[in-house]
Amino acid sequence: MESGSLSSQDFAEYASKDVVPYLHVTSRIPGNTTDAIFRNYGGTGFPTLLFLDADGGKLAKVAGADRSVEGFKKTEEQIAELLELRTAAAKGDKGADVDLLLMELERGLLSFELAKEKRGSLVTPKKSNAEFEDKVARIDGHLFEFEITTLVRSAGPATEKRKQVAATLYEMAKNGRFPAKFNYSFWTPVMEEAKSQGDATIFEKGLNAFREQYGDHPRFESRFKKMEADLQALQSGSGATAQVEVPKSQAVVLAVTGMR
Amino acid sequence: MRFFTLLPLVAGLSLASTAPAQDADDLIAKYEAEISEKWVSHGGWTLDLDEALARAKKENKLVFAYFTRSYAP
Repeated sequence: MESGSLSSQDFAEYASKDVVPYLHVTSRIPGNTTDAIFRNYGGTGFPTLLFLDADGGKLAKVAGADRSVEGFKKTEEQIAELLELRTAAAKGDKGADVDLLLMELERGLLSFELAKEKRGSLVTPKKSNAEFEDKVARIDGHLFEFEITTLVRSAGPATEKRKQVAATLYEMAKNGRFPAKFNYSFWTPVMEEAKSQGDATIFEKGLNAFREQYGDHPRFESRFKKMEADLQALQSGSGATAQVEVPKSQAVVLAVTGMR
Repeated sequence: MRFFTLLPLVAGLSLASTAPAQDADDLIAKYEAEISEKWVSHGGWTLDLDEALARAKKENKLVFAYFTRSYAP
């Protein structure tokens, strides 16, 4: 990108007329205090491209496919929609708050805490409204996925903390809270915890979720066999202490998580 | 090794392979090299967030924030 679109004449003109270009270079120089800016904006990989308002608020993240001046202008149009919706919500226009929250969640503009707070502040219409309920259900789905991501990321490398997070996710599953789409980061620790708790029911739910997602994956065949054996052991009451089988290579993990 | 523990490990190994321990002078040199590249002066980038925000306010523009790194390629 640095030798491509950011070096073009189009970009130089765009950067000088339409926006204020800000470059942040994470250096890892000891004592450097500005490296934290990247993390504070929720950055997880390089390069990351954001549009910010004059108060530093995140307005948009530019996807890889849109990293050209044409794409930047398209993102600005999306920002205009967002700002219109914010104005409407601030004025109290009917339904604008729910549309705004949905858009902000879909565009990854909020922290989990702020999103939760906004969800709690939504005003429910007095009359039953199917459209509103559908949007709220979508918001709740996003929030649940966000909660899982936030929890998993909070675990870090410490074994004890990861166990706590696994226990929390397991409790969610026990209470019937499952992600709508398959979520590897959810089901893996949940199954591990279910196994250590001797809970065949939750373990089986996880196995079924894995089957639905990776049932035809040849590299998963041996894992499924092991999982089935684990399930049988749990159902017979003899598998409470064994550990969940892990893939033998990084390649398998990357393949099944879709990371490559 | 547990399944759940493998993901951070994989991430860690990946980071470790791209970011070996580097001394401060090396990191400073890499940073200086990055911000001296041609594309940086070409785009008229500012390296100070407060300055960018103040300009955005004054000129009624959005900030176009590009995040990259210098410690690794």
